[in-house]
Amino acid sequence: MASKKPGHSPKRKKNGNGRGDTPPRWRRFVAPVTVALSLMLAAYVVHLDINVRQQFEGKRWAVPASVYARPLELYPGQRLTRRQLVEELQALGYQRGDGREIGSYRVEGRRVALATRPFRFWDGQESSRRIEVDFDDSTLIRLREADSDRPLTLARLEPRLIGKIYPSHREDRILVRLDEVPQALTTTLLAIEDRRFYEHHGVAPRSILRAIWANLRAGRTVQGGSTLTQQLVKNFYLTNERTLRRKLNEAIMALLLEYHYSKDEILEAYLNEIYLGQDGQRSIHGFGLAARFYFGRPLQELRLSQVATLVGMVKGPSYYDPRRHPQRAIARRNLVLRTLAQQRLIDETQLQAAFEEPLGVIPGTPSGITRYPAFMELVRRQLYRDYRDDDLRSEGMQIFTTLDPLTQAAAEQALDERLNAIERERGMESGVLEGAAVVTEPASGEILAVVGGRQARFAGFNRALNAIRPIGSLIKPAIYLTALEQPERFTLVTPLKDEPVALRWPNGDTWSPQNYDHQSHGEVPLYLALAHSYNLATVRLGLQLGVDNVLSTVRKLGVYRSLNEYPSVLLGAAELSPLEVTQMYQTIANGGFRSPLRAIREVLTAEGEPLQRYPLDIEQAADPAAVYLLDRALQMVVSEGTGRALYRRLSPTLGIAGKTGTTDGLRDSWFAGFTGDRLAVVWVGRDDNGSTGLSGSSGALLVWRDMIEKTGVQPLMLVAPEGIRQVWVEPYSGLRSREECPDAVWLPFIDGSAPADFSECGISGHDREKRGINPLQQGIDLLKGIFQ
Amino acid sequence: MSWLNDSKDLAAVRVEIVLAVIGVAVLLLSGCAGLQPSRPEPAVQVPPQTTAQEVVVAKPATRPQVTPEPLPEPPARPPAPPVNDTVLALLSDADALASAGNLDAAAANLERAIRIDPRNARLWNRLAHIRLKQGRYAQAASLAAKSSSLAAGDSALLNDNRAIIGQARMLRR
Repeated sequence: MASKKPGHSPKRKKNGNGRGDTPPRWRRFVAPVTVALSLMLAAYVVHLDINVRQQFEGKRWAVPASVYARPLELYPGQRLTRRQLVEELQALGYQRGDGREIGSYRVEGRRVALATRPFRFWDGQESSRRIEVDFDDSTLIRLREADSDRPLTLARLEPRLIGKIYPSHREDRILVRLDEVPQALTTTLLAIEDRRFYEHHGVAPRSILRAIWANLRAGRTVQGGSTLTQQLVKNFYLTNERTLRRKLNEAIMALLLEYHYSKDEILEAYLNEIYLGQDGQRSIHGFGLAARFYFGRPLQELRLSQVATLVGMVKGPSYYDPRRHPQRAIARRNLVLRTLAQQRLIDETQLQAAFEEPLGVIPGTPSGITRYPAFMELVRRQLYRDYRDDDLRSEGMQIFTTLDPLTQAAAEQALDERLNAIERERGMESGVLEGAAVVTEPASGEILAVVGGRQARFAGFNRALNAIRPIGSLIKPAIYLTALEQPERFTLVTPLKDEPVALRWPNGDTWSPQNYDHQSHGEVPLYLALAHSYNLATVRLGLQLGVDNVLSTVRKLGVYRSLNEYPSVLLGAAELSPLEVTQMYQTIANGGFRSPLRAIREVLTAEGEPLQRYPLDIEQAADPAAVYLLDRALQMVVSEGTGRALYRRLSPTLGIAGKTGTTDGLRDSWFAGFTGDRLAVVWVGRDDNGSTGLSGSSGALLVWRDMIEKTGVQPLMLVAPEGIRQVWVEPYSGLRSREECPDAVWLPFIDGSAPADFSECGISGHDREKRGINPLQQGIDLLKGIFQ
Repeated sequence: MSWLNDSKDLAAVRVEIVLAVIGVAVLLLSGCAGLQPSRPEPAVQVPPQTTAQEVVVAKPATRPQVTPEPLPEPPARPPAPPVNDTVLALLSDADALASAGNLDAAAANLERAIRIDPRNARLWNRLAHIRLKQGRYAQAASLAAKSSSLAAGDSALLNDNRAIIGQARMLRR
């Protein structure tokens, strides 16, 4: 296709033919003109030489950074279902097959057999393995090496690619080394495009002549005469200009390339450079990416028919696009296959087998734009702190993140489905509710999922990071923790007064907070005031502790946004993003140890050399014993307080700890909760800040519950730290009790703060009254002192 | 290596689960009993004096309210033990890497193990040791404190963590 007018090179030779008696005057100029022309030509060639070498050395390696999800780790005892494993394998492009060929899997009842792909991780190469995995309903119960039947303790799948950071020209490619390119591809490519590649010096006059002859006979372009080297040069400059000058330049540059580089280097560059299609703004370069883009598999796993399809596309990537023009693509593929057979590179059986195969193209892939825009925003934020934009776009860095696609999918689905259901049940306009969710692993601070809104696929307003909303009662754990860190003053059963309170501002306004049920509940033990989220008791407690001290606890827990020191902050006037709330609860869920939330684990160079790790970092932020008391109280929020609705669907053995949050006028509905291996924060509200009609427990909590139900979790089994003593107490009297007493509750106390006096079962009313008076009177005095 | 012996931990975990389940069950029962008399508005009023007899009468009435809560899984399902093998394998890899001087890789292995078994005090302790060797003293101390918060009753481990914290403080100066 490249050479309709290849006759120009012989033309030059006509000069100087058969001229015996030229006039001397004319002759005098020949030498200097020739010299001048030669110099100009030489300069021009040098110019081209520099240019083409720059292209070859530099631009061909402009590779976008690849961003990966966490690799799925497989180990006995892991909470993973067979369905989830198969989902992961399909997302990775594994094919249903015998489970012995690399990249294939086989399902037999509750067993999955698969052959993993090799992958280079931060900590070294993971080679391909044939493994067999057995499941029960919720757990991976056995992991074995298929061939030896040897039990394995741990295996790892390669991570899913979740996004890329593109250069401005939007070229995308996956680099391949020549030695990892399947023989079938190079053979087919050379057979079709350049049979004499290893013989010529960059241009092949004979091919050009043959092409002209063939084209003349056919009366149209049927054959091209360009060598691979010429095609490579043409690809460097990506232009369809077909002038004589361009052709000439190409030829000279091809010769120059061949002079400087070996055949293998040129072939490798060609395999990575050649343009093979378009995906919106993104252009698909090289066979490595084309294999992924069209067939969803690594190059090494392509079948002969697929190789033929790709090689066939070189001639016209959009004309032979197997998605848009499958008929043409098949015809072209079969032509390629026949050529191979004619050249005796494949035999008749192989030919027939390949003919029979369908194209095998995966449906239009969304891989160009990420499926996880909200999470990617977080990754970019973190990357841009440490790397230059240019490097991210061109150095082919590999970024390993913490995203867990299974958790992410569950969170996205739960949010959208539940909000749909709520809108239907309540006759609300469809789509009026919005939401966001963040899921992390409490011990490591790794972010597993980020949902920025109901339309999780589209990059829009990312509410998880950017919606700053009043957090309502989600602030309360910070207040109670401030109290519990003073064991000499407060325990879980310290009676709190839940009674009306009116605060007078300096300007004369008064503020009278209300309980959610608009009732007062008298004197209640501290843990129940939290479990039932009583506002009056909490405001009084917060004032007694001091708003500044409460805010200092909030900061210790990891919230760095500055918050106003008004008493209204005690009832959640503080405005935070779901991500900030997650950071605060991460510290609570991690026993008082703060870990900065992380979205990235490791960054590698294109060659797989470690560049940077983002290790697990923790800092003790609060007394673990006090946090243990708080966590126990948060478990009771769910077992008997405002979070009860969780256990209508989930098993109480999960021991979930959590807190609901609702703001004025039911504008925001929050739930933050954690299990043994998951912390999740959910916000539901409206973008126009209107009323949702939802409390924390009728909105966000249901989303949270659905999400946990979909993923499955480990139960929360709190470990009591040193210095904790557990006793049976009677909560309302605050006295020691015995297990067999009906009112008795098994509660933890920090050493030295457990009550000493015993009550007889149930006969404690008198004591209760007696104990109640003092703190009550104290509280009133204190409030008077502060607000007058 | 004595710290590889996890059987004691497991026993402790089982006891913990049983206690937690009993705790939750008792809370459900007693919580209902205690909160049942919905108090009228007048605020300071203490709930009517309950006698032992009344409680005995109230209890059967509250029980049926509790039982309908479905308990889909039998309580105290044994934690799947093979996880420990995985964690042990990662631990011994980490040890090998650490003694070969590859501290970063050792730490990465321990982090993998922590993701699998975050409540294992020994893992946090090993990571603290690595950070100490790397001169990251603040991290070492925090990790040791985290280990201690999970190590109740294991005096050897608690002592070791205290030693790490002491050393980290000293070296930081």
